[in-house]
Amino acid sequence: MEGRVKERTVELEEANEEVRRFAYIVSHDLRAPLVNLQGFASELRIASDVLQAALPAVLPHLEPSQRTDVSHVLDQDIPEVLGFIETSVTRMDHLIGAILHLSRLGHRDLHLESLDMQALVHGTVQTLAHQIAACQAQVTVGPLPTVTADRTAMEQIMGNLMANAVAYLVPGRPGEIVVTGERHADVTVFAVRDNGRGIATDDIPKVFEPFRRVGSQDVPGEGMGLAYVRILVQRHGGEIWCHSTWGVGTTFTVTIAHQIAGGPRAF
Amino acid sequence: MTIVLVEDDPGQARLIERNLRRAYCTNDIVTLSAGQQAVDYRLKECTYAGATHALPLLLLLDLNLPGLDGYQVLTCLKADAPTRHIPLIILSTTEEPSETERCYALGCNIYLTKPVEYEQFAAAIRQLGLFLSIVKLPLGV
Repeated sequence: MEGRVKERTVELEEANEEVRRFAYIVSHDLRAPLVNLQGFASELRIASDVLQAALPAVLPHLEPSQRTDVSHVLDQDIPEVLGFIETSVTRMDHLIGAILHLSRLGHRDLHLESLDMQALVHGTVQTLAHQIAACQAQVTVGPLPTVTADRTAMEQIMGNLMANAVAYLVPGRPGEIVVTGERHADVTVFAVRDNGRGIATDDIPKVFEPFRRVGSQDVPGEGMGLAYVRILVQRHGGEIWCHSTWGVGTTFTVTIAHQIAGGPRAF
Repeated sequence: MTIVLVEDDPGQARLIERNLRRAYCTNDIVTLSAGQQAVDYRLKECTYAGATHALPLLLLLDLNLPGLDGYQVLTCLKADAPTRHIPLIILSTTEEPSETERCYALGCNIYLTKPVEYEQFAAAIRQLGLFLSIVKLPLGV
C-alpha cells in the first residue's frame, strides 16, 4: 500500500513538472509572435500617419466618391482596426504574463524561515489601511502562531485573502474581517473570515481557477489572485478551501504543513 | 561594414531592420535565419563558398535559433582565431542574469535585452543603430 502511494506521488510530481514546463514554454513561445503583432500594428500606425499627413494635398485631386471612401478608411477604418488589434494584443499579453507568473510561482525556490505571523498580518493590514478605512471595516487579527514558511509567499497569501475580504464587503454594511490561526499536529491553520457579499455555492470551486471571476464584475482584477494563492499554499504542503454563504460572508481557510517537501508544483 | 542579423523569426528580423534604418543606419544588413548559416557566411563556406560580401562584419545574434543555437554560434566564432575579433552583439529576449553571464563568458562583446513592449523595443533598436554608426572596426575583419 505504502509503495503504491509512493509510486503515485512520483507519477503526480512528474505530471506536475510536465505541466509546469509546458506552461513555461507556451507562455514564452506565445509571446514572440505577439510581440511581432504589436510591432507590425505600430508600423501600420506609422504608415497610416504618413498617409494621413499627405491627405489634404491629395484629396482635391480625387473624384468626390473616392474622396469620401479614402478619408473614411484613413479616419475611421484603420484607426478602429488598429485599436482592436492593440487591445487584443494587450489582453493576450496580460493573459500570457499571468500564466508565466503562475508557472514561476510553482517553481521558485522557497526560503523557509520562522515567521511571526502576527507581525506579518499586521503589515498586511497597514498596506491595506486606506481601503480598510474607506469601507469603515473592523479588522481583528489573531493571536496568530509562528509558522515556518517562505516570507514572500505568506505575504502574498495573506495579502491576497485580506485584499479580497476588503474588496468584496457589502457597501453600507460595517465590514468585519477576522484573521485567526491555530497550530495543529501536522499543519498550522489560518482563516480569514469576512461578512462580505459571499460567494454562490456553485461558484466556490471556480474561484481558485486561473482567469475565473465570479459574481458581479464590479471589482477590478485579472482573476488570478486565488490561483496564485492556491499554488503558493500547495508549495507549502498545504490546502486552501472556502466556506461561504451568499449575502452573509466568506471564510478562506489555509493550511501550512510543518514539514514541507518543497518540490516544484504545477497548477 | 556589413551587419549580419541572425534571427529565425522573419517578422522580428524585419522590425529590427526597420528600426535600425530609422536611426539612419545605412550599412548593408544581411539577415540569416539559422546559426549554421552565420558560421558558413563568415567563413564563406557551403552555401556561401565564393561569396564576396564586404568586410568587416558585425554580428547581431539571437539566442533561440534552430539547429546551431546562439550559444553554439558564439562559442564557434569566438573559439576560432580568424573569427574571434568579429564584434558580436547578443539580442536576447530574456533578462535571466545567468544567460547574460554565460554569453559574456563565451566572449560576446555586448549583450542586449530586447524590451517586450514595442515602443521600447523600437527605441532600443534605434539607439543600437545610432551606436553602430559610431563603432569603429579593424579593416578586413
